Amino acid sequence: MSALLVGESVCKYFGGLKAVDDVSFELAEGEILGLIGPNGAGKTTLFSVAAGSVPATHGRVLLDGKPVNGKAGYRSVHQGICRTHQIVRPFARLSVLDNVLVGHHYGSPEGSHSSPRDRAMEILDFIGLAERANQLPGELTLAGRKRLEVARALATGPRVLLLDEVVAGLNPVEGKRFVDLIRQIRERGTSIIMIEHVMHAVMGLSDRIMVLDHGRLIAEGNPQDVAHDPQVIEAYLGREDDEDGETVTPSAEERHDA
Amino acid sequence: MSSTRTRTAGRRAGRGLPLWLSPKALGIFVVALVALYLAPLVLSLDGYLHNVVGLTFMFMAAGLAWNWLGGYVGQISFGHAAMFGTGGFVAARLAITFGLPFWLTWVVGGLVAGLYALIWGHPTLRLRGPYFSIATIGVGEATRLVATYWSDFTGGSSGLSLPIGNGPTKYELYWYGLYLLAAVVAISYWLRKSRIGLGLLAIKEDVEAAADVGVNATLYQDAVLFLSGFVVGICGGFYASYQAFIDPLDMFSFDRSISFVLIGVIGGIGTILGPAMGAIVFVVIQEFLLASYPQLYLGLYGTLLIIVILFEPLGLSGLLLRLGKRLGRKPPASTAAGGMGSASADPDGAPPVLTGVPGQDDSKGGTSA
Repeated sequence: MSALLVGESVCKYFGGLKAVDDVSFELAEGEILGLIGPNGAGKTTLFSVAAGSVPATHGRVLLDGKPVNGKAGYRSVHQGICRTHQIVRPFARLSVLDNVLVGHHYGSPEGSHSSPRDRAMEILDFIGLAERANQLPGELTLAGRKRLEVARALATGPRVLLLDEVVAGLNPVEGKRFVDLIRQIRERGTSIIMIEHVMHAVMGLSDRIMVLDHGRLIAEGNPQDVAHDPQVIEAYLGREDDEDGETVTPSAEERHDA
Repeated sequence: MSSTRTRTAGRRAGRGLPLWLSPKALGIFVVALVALYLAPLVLSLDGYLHNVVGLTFMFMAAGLAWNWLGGYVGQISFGHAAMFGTGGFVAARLAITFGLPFWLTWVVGGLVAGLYALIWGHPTLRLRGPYFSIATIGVGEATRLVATYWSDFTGGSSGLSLPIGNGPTKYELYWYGLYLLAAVVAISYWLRKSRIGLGLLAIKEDVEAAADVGVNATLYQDAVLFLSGFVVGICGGFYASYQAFIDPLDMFSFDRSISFVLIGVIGGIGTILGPAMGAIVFVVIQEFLLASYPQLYLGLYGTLLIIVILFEPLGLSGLLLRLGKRLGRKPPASTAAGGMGSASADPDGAPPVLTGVPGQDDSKGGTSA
């Protein structure tokens, strides 16, 4: 398998804080790569660099051999890389359909479709929001808004999709549906990197998993090996089950540092 | 979903037209244009009224152009007098010094105004919401001071008089105002309905999320500001021809900037019909009430602004929407996106998001029915 997205010694420093420190990664075509780690490990920062929304301090990210530079986020979308946000950010006063249409119009959808509307409806159909096309995002449930976030990203026609905690915060039934959805997205030919705290989701979906801690890559490999890696266990040691751990509480950080 | 299907089908029926242009809107536009063109020839209007209607066309055009930035992108400018004055003075200066034909002076004045807008706008458009508005106040006031003291160019506080016989008469200006308005309405419609309009609304809602799906926010905002400044600059040239005399205190005044905001807000920010209606209200108040009671000036505008923002953030067009709903018509969900409650403001302190969606409850009922 050839690598589609490559990170070469990516570093991102905020002043003295090394949020991401010398992380290299590869994403093969059609692969799902899981990205896990304790809170504050630098996962989302690595995402922002990979998505081209912020520039790397050192190192670089290549999509198909072409550098994704962090100067303008919109440009990397045109290159074929799109991210979703951990906290969903729909365009609140545009209808669900229009939200998806924005992605379609301004992304880089391959081939020209007979009608943007038909294409957007097709995506909404796939994602399971077709009946809600004319509603406002505020009328959807959290799961619905997360689906919308993914639908809008898919509409840009990405080759690489970066999913930031899309399963977190959903109830088990919705979470299960979302896992199936992510699998289907991959089957449609999109490569995926996902940050996820919900372990059964990330373990079940990922072909490979990368573990970050304090900005450094501490383990990488198939899900079983990573789950039994002593360093990974140590990084998570003393922490409660991480399923609802998306809020960074100072006490959790202290415990982690200790 | 069914309504989506029918809408798509309706658009396809108008073959030959771009997807964003509905045949109905085109029809209304042409009929209105012809009617307004012929009106003074058929009806014998009182001369004063005729002139004021011509001036109203100009204010409508300026209000709509302000609205491209204020309503579509959600960047409320309190400094558009800077472009209005720049356009007016460049046009007047060109007419006086070089004796150029009036239409050319308007266009050049507009271009200079648009470029001026780009110069201060490119850096300041990175600010959002109230921060941008404050910056524009500074720009407007600074421009006014520079213009007042640059007497070689602007004539200082004694202003400039246009050469007699250079431009069209007030009577003829009615039609030039109409042409200007027609062009601006067409651009407004295009900006609103084409895919560009969707990108602008996305920028208004959330700049960063828009960038994450590929919208080049900087380019679009700059382009809209340039276009807005260009048209407002032409309006300044028109105003110079209309008054035959301009001075910096009037052209660059803060009141002037506020008047564009008022026209947009009273009529309904983010809509097309809104600023046009707002301009009528504005001119009626200015020409008929203020002539008799000049002391009421600012108080009246302030009161109007408060009433509109408190009770109907979509202004007069919001009232029309409500009326339409009473009569059983359901507006598309995104209509509400135009509201005064700009989502670009700090999301934490954003109760306006709710007030900006006056019809949300109703439209919920409409979809479930």
